[in-house]
Amino acid sequence: MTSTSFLRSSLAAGAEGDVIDAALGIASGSPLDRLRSERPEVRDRTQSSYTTLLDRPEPGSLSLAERLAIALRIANVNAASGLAKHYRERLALASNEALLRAIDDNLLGSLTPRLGAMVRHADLLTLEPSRASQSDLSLLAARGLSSSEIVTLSQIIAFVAYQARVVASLKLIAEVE
Amino acid sequence: MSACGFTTDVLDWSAWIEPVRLEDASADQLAVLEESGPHARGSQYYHLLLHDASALRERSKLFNAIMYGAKGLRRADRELGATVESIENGCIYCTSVHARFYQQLAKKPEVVDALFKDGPGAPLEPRERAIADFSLRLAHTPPQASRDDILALRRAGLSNAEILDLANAVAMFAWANRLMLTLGEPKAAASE
Repeated sequence: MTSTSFLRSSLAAGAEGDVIDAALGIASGSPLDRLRSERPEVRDRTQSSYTTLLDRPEPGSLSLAERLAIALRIANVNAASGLAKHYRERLALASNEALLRAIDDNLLGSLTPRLGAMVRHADLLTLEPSRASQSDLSLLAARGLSSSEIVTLSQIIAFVAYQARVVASLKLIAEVE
Repeated sequence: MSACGFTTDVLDWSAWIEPVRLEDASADQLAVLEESGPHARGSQYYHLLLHDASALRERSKLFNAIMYGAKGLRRADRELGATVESIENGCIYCTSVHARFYQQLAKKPEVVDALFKDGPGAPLEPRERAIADFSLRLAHTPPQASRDDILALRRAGLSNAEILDLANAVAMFAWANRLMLTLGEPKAAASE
């Protein structure tokens, strides 16, 4: 897994900052860096949530490529370009060009039925969360997702919704400086 | 209860898939439940999230830092942001809990009454209006919050750190609402 350790140093965490810093180009010592450092526990737990859900998958659960494809999809739907760039670069290393294009260009028919079902669920929960129903979970189960995988998928979808709003807010605060 | 089902009554929440049974839980899962807070042990929602215990561990610590962190924005204001996000997403359960917390902290019952009656755009005092406007627009997908919303929060007296505290609370409920809405549904609480 040399590509994964490369990612961790260059894209994910590293001494220079975390994923949100990378998505916004926040430099060490900049006003946003100082603002974020006023809430160290929030900053650290935001990054450790990312690491747990999107950088160090549990064996036997959703694959890294599946997780990153879903995260890229949600970043795209939220028009979070910095986050999308991050997930696109990671997905390119974890998977292949065809999967990247399927997510970016909305070619859901070219995905495996399992990943297609997950991406459709991600779209529903991202755009119209109150319409999610028990039958949507049955569709995921019918594609072979276990209860545990459904919980992890839900956490990833919901986490990227959180992440996109943190990034959007920090960007606005900096713009109105 | 309002016309669209929002309430500050105490509700239960019922999972659509099988939660982890505590008698089957590992020592690590039980530790995560303990760390998550006093309400987690008896909650079906937390028992369900134990299926991914490492994700729950980080999320609970983050949730507690954002909503209960000692420094920064008044807790009532964080709860107002959480409430507006939850109303906008149609999360009846989250709204019931956090509208109730807001009422207990702010002692302004008219704010929740107005939000339930007229929605997130209801007429409010300027400080509450600025918080609700930002929260509502940040809730949208893609987020629609603007520079004007930030300027309105500054005029209402919020520092940048306090604006970030509010943003974090709203963002945390973009997360919480989606978990609650996709994994189960609210139920009237069983009477004692």
